[in-house]
Amino acid sequence: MAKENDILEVFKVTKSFGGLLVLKELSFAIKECEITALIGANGAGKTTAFNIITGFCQADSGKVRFRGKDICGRTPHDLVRKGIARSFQQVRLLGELTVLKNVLLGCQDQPGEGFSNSLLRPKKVRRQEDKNVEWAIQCLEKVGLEEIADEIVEELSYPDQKLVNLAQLLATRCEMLLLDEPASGLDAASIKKFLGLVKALPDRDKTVLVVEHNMSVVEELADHVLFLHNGEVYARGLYNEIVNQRELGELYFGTD
Amino acid sequence: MEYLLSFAVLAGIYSILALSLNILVGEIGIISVAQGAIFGIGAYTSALLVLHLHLPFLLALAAGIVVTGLFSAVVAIPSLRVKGDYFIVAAFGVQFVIHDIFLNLVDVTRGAGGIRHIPRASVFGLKFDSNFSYLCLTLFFVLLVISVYWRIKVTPVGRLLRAIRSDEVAVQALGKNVYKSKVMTTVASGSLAAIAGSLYAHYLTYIDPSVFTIHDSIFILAMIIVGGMGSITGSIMGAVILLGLPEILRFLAIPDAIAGPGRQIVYGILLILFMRFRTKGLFGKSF
Repeated sequence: MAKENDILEVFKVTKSFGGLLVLKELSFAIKECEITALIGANGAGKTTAFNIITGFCQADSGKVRFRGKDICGRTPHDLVRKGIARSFQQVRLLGELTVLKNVLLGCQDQPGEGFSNSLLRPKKVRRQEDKNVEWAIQCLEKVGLEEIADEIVEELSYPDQKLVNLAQLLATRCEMLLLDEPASGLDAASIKKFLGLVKALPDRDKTVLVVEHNMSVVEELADHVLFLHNGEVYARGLYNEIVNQRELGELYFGTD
Repeated sequence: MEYLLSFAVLAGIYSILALSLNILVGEIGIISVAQGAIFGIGAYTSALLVLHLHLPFLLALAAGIVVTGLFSAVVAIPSLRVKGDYFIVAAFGVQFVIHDIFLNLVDVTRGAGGIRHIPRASVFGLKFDSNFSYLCLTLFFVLLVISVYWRIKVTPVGRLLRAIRSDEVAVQALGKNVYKSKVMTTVASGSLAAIAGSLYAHYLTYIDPSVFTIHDSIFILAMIIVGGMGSITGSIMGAVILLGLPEILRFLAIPDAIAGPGRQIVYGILLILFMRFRTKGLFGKSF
């Protein structure tokens, strides 16, 4: 099923919670350097799929392959090192820390995060920290927040917190970003700014998988849409192909 | 004067203990009620190595650090795999089991009778047998532990620990091995407590299990709650205040039968009051 330019393949993934079957042999592939949207009604299995791909949940059966390699059973932190990072629907930042320190946490090469290096190799730690600060500031510049690098995150507005989270994900240098409802909680102006940044990600060699309920966001962003229903991919295609199918509208909204 | 010097030595030793626990509680947010037992492992290891193998003090102290660090790892590896507050339950278990071992492994620890005639510390022939000289030795180690703690605070590892305390799921999602960080912090905390244990044993020249009980673990926890979680100054002031309080009460001529339990009650009330009304302690940040 996987094609040459597929970066991620989900193959017959099944997941139950207690007696409830949430994912039923879910199968799809994501093309590299594209934005794919995962849509579906509440309970369709979108977040569970996200959690399985990013290691926060383990599939009961099936395979998930990233660049052809099986990533089932890997921990979330391991998967970030392999190149897959995610955001959460409710933005999760370290509120007591500054914007810059939050983004620095996204940097992967941090010898100073080990006790022995921090105590015994101060020069190595300092050198890498300087490089990481430079990279973190570049990430903040990409989202337009370099001016507020020293502000405490919990004092920022929600749209700015979302941007900090995006900067964190950029700082990880991961090739694939999974964004869980990136537009939720944002006003129209903030959505427009955020979408502009996300749309530019494929040009930076990033692949994006988005869960979203806001159809105008999906229309704006997605190169490809996957419609989930009852734990499986019910339909796939371009945005217009999906929204023009009346049956899907009924499944999604429960109305004509 | 000797009384004040003696108080200062003990304040220094308990400051090291408070600092060691604050790395765990104040920085990464893992509550432990086993620091009394860990303190004891350091003390017994150092004392036994000097008495039986005639190791020099510094080598015995280093061995105490290694043994206590390894022990902390053995406890942390399984108990930190579970989510939630189960580590506290494990810590209770460790505290009681270790205390029981101190009491019952009579052939090694001499049980309730304790180990006597522990030599005073000496370094390269220089014997620290006066209160003043021992205070100098203790202050050296207090400064050493402060610099270790400060270094942790200002480097990326401190940032990581505080982030884990704040939201470990978010930190995992950024590619950090939270479990490994928790285990290593527990090892660091235990290793530093061993320094206090060794200093204690070689100062008093006598140790017995009654100093390494759950009450002592709670006493050390109270020091950082009162002084301030995540605060170097708070750790030291908490130790000074809580050690100083009973000394002040001595001057009020309260009978021993009341003073002992009364002290426990006061510590308990202090803990509750600070957790309720001043979670940051006197010098710390909010927990």
